[in-house]
Order: sequence, then C-alpha cells, then structure tokens
Amino acid sequence: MAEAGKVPLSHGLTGGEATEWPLQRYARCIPSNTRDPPGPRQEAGTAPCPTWKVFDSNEESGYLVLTIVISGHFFIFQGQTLLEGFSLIGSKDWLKIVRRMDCLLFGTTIKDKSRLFRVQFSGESKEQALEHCCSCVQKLAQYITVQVPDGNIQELQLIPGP
Amino acid sequence: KFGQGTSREPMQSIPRYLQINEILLISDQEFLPCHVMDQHWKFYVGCEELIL
Repeated sequence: MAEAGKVPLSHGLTGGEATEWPLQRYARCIPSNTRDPPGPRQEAGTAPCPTWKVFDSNEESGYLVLTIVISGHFFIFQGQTLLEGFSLIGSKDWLKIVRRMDCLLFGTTIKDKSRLFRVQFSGESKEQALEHCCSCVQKLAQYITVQVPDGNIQELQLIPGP
Repeated sequence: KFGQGTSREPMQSIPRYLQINEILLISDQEFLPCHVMDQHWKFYVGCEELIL
C-alpha cells in the first residue's frame, strides 16, 4: 500500500503525506527602483519595471520541485536547497496567488513588506505542464483562493438578461 | 557476502522536506512597499498574454 501512488506524479518521493510537482522555473522579483536614488521618479500609477532573479530547473543547478505537505506546509526546493517555505494555514491574510496558464504568481505581505515570486510548471508537453499547474491549484484551493483572471466566469455572467 | 550495507534506498524513504541542507534567504532588496507590490500585481493580473 505504501508503494501504490495516489500521488499524481510518478517521480514523486511521496507516500501520501506530501504532493510534489516539477517546476520548470522559479523567480523572485527584484524591484528595479532599489538601485535608483529615492526621490525623483515617484509617479503614481506607473510601476517601475521589476527584474526577476530566475532559477531554472536542470541537472547542474538541481531540479525545482514544489511540495505541499498534508500539514499545509508549502515548499519550493532546488535540489536540497529550500527556496520557499511557509504554512498555508491561515495564509489568506498575507498571501495571494494568481494563475496564468501554467504559471503561478505569488504575492506576500508581512509587516508592511511585500514580495513577489512566480513559478512555471514543467511537463513533457505544454498540456502536461498545464495539468500539473491545475492540479497544484486544486490542492492550494484547500487553503486559499487562487485567482484565475481568464475571464471565463465573467463571460458566463455576461449572458444578456431582461 | 556479509558486510553489505543493510540500508536500502536510504534517501528515498526520507521526504524531501526533511533533506534540506541549505536555505536561500530572502535578501533585503527583494522586499518592496505594499503599494508598489499592488501596482505590479495589478499589472500582471491584467496582462492578457503575459509569459511569466
């Protein structure tokens, strides 16, 4: 029974306590305005274009994996390096997630400090990557609402009424 | 032969989250004020063809 995987991924090292998804890419947002001296360019409405510190999944640097443990803990690893780790329990207050195709964007705000990071799921095909992403969203949805701004729901609501 | 290791697949039975040997900390420059993050957020959520 321990061997029979109920886990969606065959390569996962999981036995039901955790679910893992392979990632293609993980990136942390580095706000570009940190290099500029404070002051001159403070135009409300135009967000400065951020740069992203990108981690790719490969043999050399290590494979990226997103893990959700049954306890509600969320992890992102590259090999044996922990890149993200927090509890999803009660995370509604400080965490928001949006899905865009096979990518997820995470925004956190803790003690008036925010950060952004994003992940792209991997798979043997684009479809499989999308499947992985959706199955991860399903898991995440047990703890937190994941926005999906694709407009499908809106379209349904736009059916003209009397 | 005796003396063969008795441990089979030692790592495979240990969950990945217990094999951490390094944590990549968050650098100060990754933090941004909430209102700036909100602007970025709105931008990315509103983007139609955004490739993240």
